[in-house]
Amino acid sequence: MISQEFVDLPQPDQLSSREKEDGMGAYLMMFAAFAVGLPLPVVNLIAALIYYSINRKKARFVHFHCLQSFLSQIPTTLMNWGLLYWALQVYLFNNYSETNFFFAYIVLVILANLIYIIFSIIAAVKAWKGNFYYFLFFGPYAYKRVYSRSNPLRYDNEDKKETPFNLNKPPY
Amino acid sequence: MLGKIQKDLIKLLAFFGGLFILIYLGFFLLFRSSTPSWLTAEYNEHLLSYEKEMQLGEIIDRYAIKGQEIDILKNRRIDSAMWVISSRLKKQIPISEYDYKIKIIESEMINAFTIPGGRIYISKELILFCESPEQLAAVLAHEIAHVEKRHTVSRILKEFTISLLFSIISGADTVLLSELWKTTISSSFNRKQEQESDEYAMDLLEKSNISPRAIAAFFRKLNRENLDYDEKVEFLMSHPHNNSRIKRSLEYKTSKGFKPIPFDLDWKSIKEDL
Repeated sequence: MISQEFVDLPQPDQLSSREKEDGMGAYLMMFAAFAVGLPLPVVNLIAALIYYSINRKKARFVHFHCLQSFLSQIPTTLMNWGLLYWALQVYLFNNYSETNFFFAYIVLVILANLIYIIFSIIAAVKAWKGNFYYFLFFGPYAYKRVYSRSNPLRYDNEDKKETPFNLNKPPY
Repeated sequence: MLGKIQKDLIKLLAFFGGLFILIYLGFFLLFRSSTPSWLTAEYNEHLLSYEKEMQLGEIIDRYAIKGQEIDILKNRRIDSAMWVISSRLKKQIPISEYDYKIKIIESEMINAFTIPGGRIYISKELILFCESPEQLAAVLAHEIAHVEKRHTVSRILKEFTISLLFSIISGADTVLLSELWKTTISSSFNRKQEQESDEYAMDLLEKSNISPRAIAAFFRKLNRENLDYDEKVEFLMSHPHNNSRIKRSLEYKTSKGFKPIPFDLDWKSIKEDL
C-alpha cells in the first residue's frame, strides 16, 4: 500500500554527489544565515525561503531536506522574535519587568536554539552521506509532501516519461 | 500516516511545554523573590553598616563645604518652609535609621541629589522651578526613597570597593574624597532603582496627604519648558523616560479616604525672597 501512495526512497548509492551536497547545504546555509540574523531573527527565514525556492526542483532528495530545514526553523524563529520583543519591552521601553517567567523563557529559547543547531548538524552530516534523517513531526511531514505520488512538482533529474498525461490519444 | 504526524506534533509541543514548566519551576524554587539577584546585579548595600554610612556622609559633606564644591544657601524663610515640608514627610516613614539633613545649595542647575547618610541637597534653581510646595515635596520624597532603599550606598560601592571606603573613613584622603564626591553627584541610579524609589515616593506622598500627582505635575512642567534633554537639568538626565513616569504617577491609585491637605505656605513670596 505504501509503495502505491509514495515514490520509492533512493538509496545512498543511487544519489549523485551533487544531490547530497545540496541536501547538506540546506542545513549549513541556515547556519550562516542564522549567525547573521541572530540579533534580528528574520534573516534566516528569508534565506531559508530563497534556498528552498531555488533548490526544490533539483531533486526529491534535495527538496525533502530543504523543506525539513525550512519548516523546522519556523518555531525557533518565532520564539526568537518573541524573546526580542519581550526583551525590548523590558530593557528599552520599560513596560514590563524582569520576572521569573521572563528568565525561564530566555533559558527555553537558548535550549531550543541549541537543540535546533545540534539536530541540524546531525541532519547535515546524514544528508551528505546520502541518508535520510527525520526530525520529529517535521521529517514525516516533509516526507509526506515530497515523496507522495500526488506531489505535482516535476524534478529536473527524474524521467519526463513518467508524466501521467496522455497527450497523444487514439482517434476513437 | 497523518495520525502519526499529529502525534509527533503533540509530542513536540509536550516536550517544549514540559521543558518550559520545568525551567520555570526551577527558577521559582531557586529565587523565591520576583527577580533573581545574580541577573539583575544587585549590589551589596548591606556590607556598609548604617553607622559607617553616617560617618561617610559626614566626611563627604565636610569636604564639599570646605572644598567649596557647594555653597550652602542661608535663608530663614525657605529653611522653615523646608522644615514644614520635610517634617510632614518624615513623620510617615515607618522606621528610619536616618537623621535627614536637607540643605539648599546655590546652583544654576535644576538639581537634587543625595549623598550617603541621609544628606539631601536641593538646588535653589529647583525650588524656583517648583510651582507649589507639593512639587518640592514630591522631589524630596523621591530623594528620601533613594536614601531609605540605600541606593546611594550601592552606587558608591559600584565604583569603590569596601576597603577603599574604610580607608577614606579612617584617614580622609582629599584626592579620594574628591573622587567620591564626583561619583556621588555625577553617576546616576539605574532604572530599576528609579522605578523603585518612584513607587516608594508615591506611597510616602499618599501617606502624608499629598497628592502623588505632584510628581506628574513636576515632570509636565519640565516637558512643557522643553528642558528634557537640556544640560541645565543634570538631575533629570539620570532619570530617563519622563513620560512613562508621568503616566505611572497619574495611574497611581490612592486609597478611598484619601484627601490631600495643602501646605499652609505662601509659596510665591517664599520664592521671591530667595
